Amino acid sequence: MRNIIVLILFVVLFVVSLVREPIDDTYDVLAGATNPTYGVSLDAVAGATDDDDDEDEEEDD
Amino acid sequence: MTLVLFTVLIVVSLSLLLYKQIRRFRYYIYAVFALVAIVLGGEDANIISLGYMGFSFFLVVMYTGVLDRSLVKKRLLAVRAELSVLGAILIAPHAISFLEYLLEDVGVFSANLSYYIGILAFVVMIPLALTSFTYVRKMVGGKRWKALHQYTYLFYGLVGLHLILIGNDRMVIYIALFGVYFILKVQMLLTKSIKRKQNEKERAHS
Repeated sequence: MRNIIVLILFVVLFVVSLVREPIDDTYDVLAGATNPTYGVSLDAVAGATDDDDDEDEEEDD
Repeated sequence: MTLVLFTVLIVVSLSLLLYKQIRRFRYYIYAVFALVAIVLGGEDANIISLGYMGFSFFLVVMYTGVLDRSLVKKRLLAVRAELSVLGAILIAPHAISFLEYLLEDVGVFSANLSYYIGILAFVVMIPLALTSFTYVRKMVGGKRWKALHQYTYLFYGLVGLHLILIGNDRMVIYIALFGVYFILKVQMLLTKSIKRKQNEKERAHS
């Protein structure tokens, strides 16, 4: 029973990944190029927030 | 995640087909993987330095533990130690390069929580990986080895937390992977416990 659950889990996750992540991104990362799917956002890693507020401030000025 | 799951498929397929060869030539395979990890494990972001390859190996090792008795489980168990060592070799550049980034660029106390949990997971992993070598395992002794390897579950928990707390688009997939593993493991332990109690009762009656 557990084997079937594990198999279903991995098949479902694989299909979900294929649908959500552009396949070109996978080819890119294999070729050594990072992209939004396979990469690291340094701001996010460092705990920084997005810069949306800055744009608002510029508009106010 | 496509890449991780595809790697899982390859690792499982090769383990099922070549389990004897993997065991026989394990030290050569370790050497090749170590070389790849050294070459690709620099500061550049790639499938090794981002930790995808190491994680794939650990997923196979992790889920082998919750499979039902079957030929698949038997063959994966035969190479479980080897896959653990290979996972550790591949994850080491990820941990080291991000630790360097934390110390040099982000600042020791300025990083996201997922960072610290990742480092803790790496620290927990080191003795587990070292004692996965057959000769070290013999040196440590069966009971001590078994006691030490209970910390594997702590390692899995920390890896799961590390990945979930990154908070990227893959968070739901990570929750599914570690959530289902946790449920299956608890179910497996409960079943074992019930069986053990039944056996004890039967022995007492006879």
